[in-house]
Amino acid sequence: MTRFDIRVRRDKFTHSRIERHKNYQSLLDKHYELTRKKTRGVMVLVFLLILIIAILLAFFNRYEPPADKAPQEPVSEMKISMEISNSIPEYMP
Amino acid sequence: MVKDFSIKVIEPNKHISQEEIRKEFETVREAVNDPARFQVLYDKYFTVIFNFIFRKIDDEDITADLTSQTFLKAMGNLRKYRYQGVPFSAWLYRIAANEINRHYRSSKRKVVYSFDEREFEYLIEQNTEQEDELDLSYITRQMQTMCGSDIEVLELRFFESKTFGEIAFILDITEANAKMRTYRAVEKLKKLLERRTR
Repeated sequence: MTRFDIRVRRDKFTHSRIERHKNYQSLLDKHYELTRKKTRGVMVLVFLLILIIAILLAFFNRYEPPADKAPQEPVSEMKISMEISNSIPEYMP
Repeated sequence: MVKDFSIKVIEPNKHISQEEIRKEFETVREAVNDPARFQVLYDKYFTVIFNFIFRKIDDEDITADLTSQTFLKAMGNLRKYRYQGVPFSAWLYRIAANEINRHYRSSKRKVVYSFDEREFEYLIEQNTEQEDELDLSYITRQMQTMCGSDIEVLELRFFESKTFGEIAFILDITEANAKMRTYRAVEKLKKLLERRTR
């Protein structure tokens, strides 16, 4: 089986028959519409890109890395210091 | 070394000069900023591109759609067009060939080559030593045994009267390769037709 067919046609395609399909205005309109769509698409992409960059910048500005904590002393070795006041409180008679 | 040979084509005077090619290029450059200027090229090449596509599709409505698509793509990509010493039409043919391939890939239909009877007879008579009355159904059956790329070069050379440089540009091959392919395709066709006369 061949991958193509060869046909021989008797009726010649007339120039006027082809001219019927010619419409430059419609082609131009399609072209402008396509250009508009392309421009809109590019604008949306640029907007999204700016938005993503802005979100990333905002995130990195707010984010603070956790400060290095000083090593804690073990509770068993903790010194308890209390201040004992000898003065008599004012409300005492 | 490529053997020099001549093939009789339908419209041998169809080729355009380098000066005209330059003028076309200037028009393309103007059309980049003002798409209305593209109309000159649209009017000039609409019929040939329509015929080229119709020969491979054999359906008027689909051909009209693909022709429109071809010009739309060309208009949208004018910025990418570079002067390469071949007419602007070669670029259009290349786009049209891609559109045809895309159509067949998506529709999964069998590829069709639809030739006008009188043109077909003329070319067979001019390029082979056929003395008997032409049996077109036999010839088409024989041609179906050839490969698609052979039919493609024969079509571009015979029916579109393209130069080897243009064929090379359209098929994205070297000029020497285009000459070689055409020569081999003609030889194959001659051999196929000789078998019958024996």
